[in-house]
Order: sequence, then structure tokens, then C-alpha cells
Amino acid sequence: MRLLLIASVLIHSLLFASRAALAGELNIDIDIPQLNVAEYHRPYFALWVEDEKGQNSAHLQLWYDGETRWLHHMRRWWRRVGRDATLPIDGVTGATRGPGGYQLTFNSKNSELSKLAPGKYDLVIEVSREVGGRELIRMPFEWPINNARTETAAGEIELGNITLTLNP
Amino acid sequence: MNILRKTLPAAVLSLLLIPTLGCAHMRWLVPSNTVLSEPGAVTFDASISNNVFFPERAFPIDGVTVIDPEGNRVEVSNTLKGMRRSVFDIEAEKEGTYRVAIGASFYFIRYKNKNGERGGWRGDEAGLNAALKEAKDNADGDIQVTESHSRLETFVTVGQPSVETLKPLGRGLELKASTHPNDLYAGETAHFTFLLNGEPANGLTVSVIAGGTRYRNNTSARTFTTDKTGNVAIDWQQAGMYLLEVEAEGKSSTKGVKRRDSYIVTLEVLPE
Repeated sequence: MRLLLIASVLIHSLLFASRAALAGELNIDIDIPQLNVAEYHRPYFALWVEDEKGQNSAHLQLWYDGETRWLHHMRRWWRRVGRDATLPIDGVTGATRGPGGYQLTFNSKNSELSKLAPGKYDLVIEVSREVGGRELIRMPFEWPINNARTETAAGEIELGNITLTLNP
Repeated sequence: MNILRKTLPAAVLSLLLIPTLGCAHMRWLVPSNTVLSEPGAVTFDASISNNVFFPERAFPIDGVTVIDPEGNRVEVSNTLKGMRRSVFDIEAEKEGTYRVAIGASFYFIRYKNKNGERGGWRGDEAGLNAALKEAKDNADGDIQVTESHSRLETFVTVGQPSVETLKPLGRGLELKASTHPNDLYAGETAHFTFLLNGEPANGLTVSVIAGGTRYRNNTSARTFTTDKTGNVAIDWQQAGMYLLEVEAEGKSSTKGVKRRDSYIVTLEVLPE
């Protein structure tokens, strides 16, 4: 019995230690482009992490105008994240942003990222603009982050250049 | 139904009906929206046409039933019987999946009279005996009687899809959806079971037609056959609004009468 207790304490501390050791920081630079269109609405924007099965693992950011009516136009986000979520969410949801460059930083202190088990993930960015288009970009990474690395991607219309900087 | 027993030999009745599956005159019930991210109104068109989903002749909506995610009936509003389509609206106020269906049951009688002209009747059970008497008086030879039950259905979800309204009713031909009908995506496979009076329906042909047939040279219908457990696996190749039809033929509980069950569902397949 005593041995069992010791073993279980040991396992717990090991688990805890390994959990606490999972560190990393995601630095995301995104560019929302200026579009020369007759009717411009700021895009809805969602940023989340999917595991290898495509399941939502960390809901990091959502910019929308407070109207839930069009949220399902971010099709993947709606299926994988949105329809399960109760909005707004502190620290995740915010107002839509106009054209410009934005820097977002998430580290292991983030309550969503801290839930990630070690493994391969995709950072997923989806935007949808009223009377405009929809775009989705994936950027793979491994968690925890052991080596600093920079990845770049670019949208076609709705998103400009995206730089993902991974820091241990 | 002694009258039938006397006048309609079973061998004659077995020759009666031509399957209508895959033929012209498709019946359909199409929603304006299948996915809502907040409560809102949804409008429906019901029509009979050769081109999916372009209306030609209004489909009657007297038998419409709308069930909300908690299992309660919902009133429809703004009903319209147009020249080419019937219309109604619902207010989808609750989170979850709404089931929208139009059920119809009819009897058909067909025969030839003494001058070789075709006679026929279509109506409900209440008028059947009188119609049969008339047929008997006029017919020269066989009288064909068919009992027909059809169910047109579609689903609408506010927020997270729910399963309360998907429970089989246990009567007629119906869908038991292992894959939620409002969770269909191009590139994925849906698993559906078809039940006839609550039992798995083996060997039925399931026809799947994408909307927009007007812009194609043919319907490009895909067909699947239910296995022993009534299952089919449908791999959705493209996003779009689809019409799925299944038909079963068998014997009515009334001796000597044929029974035909049709189940027709409109399904939206989304791109992800």
C-alpha cells in the first residue's frame, strides 16, 4: 500500500514536471491587406491550434464585430471551434481590425496553449470578409518548442504575409 | 377489405408499379439555410420538378411537421402555395437541430375500362372504398391498388448539431443518421442507415443528385445500395446541396395492395 502511494506520488510529480517543462512561444506577425473594393468590411479573423486529427486544441484569437450571425462563414473555425464555444471569451475575442500589420504572441502561460500535450500541431488562421472572400492558412509546428525557428506563409487576397516565429 | 381479395389476384398486383426512382418529377423540400451561427429565420421551398432544385409544380405542404431541438412542434408561418412552389418559414430560436418534414400518404387505383381507356384515382384512405367500388363498376380486367407513403425531409442546425430530433420514428422508410445530416463535408464519408418500419432496409437503391442539374447534360446521379444492416457510406466529392432519394416496394397490410415507401432528404455538403 505504502509502495503504491509512493509510486503514485512519483508518477504525479513526474507528470507535473513534464507538464511544467512544456515551454514555447508562438510569435505571429500577420498582415491584413488594404483592398481596393467598392464595399469594404473588416474581416472576421480566427486563430487556433489543431492536433493531427484536426481537432481544436487551443483557441487563441477571434476578431469579430460582436455579431454572431456571420461567424459560420469562417467554415472550418465554425466546425472545429466556434459552434462549441460560448462567446465572447476573455483574452480570446476582440473587435475586428482594419488593414495593417499585427503582432500576436502566445506562450505557455496562455491558458489554452498550456493545455497542449507534446506533439505535432497546425497553427490555423482563417479569415472571412462580408461581401469579400474567405481564406485559410495552416502552419505546422511541434510542441513543446525546442529550437527557435521562423516560418513564413502568405495569403492570396484576404491575408498578406504571415511570419510565425517559434521560440523555446 | 374483402372487396380487394375478391377482385385483385396477387399475381396481377405484382405487375403494378413502375419504380419512379431516378426518373423525372423529383419531389423536394429545400431550406434557405442549414447552418446558422445564431437563431434566425429559415425559409423552405417545396416543389416537384425535373431539375433539382428549380421549381416547376408546387408540392403541397399540408403535411408539414417541424420539430425543434427539444422535440416540440414548431409552427410554420408565411405559407404560400405558389404556381411553381410552396413556401413556408420557421423561426429557429433554439440551439440544436430542427427536423423539417412533409409526410404524405395516398392510395392509387389504376385500371382500364370497357372501352380500353385508362381510369384512375388518387386519394386518401377515407375515399378508398368508394373509389374501389367505382373502379369495379367500370373496370374491364385488373384493378391495380397501391398504398404510397412518402416523406420529404431536411435538417437545420443553430450552433452545435444535436441528435434529439434524429431519432427514428419507427414507421415508414426513414433515415437513421450515424453521420449528422448537418455535419457533412466534401472529402468526407457519411454513414447512413435506412429503416423500413424500424427495421434495417436491405438492398435498397439510394440515389444522390447534386443540385443544379439544369446546368449539366445529365443528372449525374450516384447510386448506392444498402447492405444487410441498411447501411450506405456516401463519399461526398463536392460541396453543394444534394437530393437523396430512397424507395422501397412491398406489400401493404391490406391484402392484395402494393405498398410503396419513399424517403427524400435534402442535404447540404459544405466545403471545409
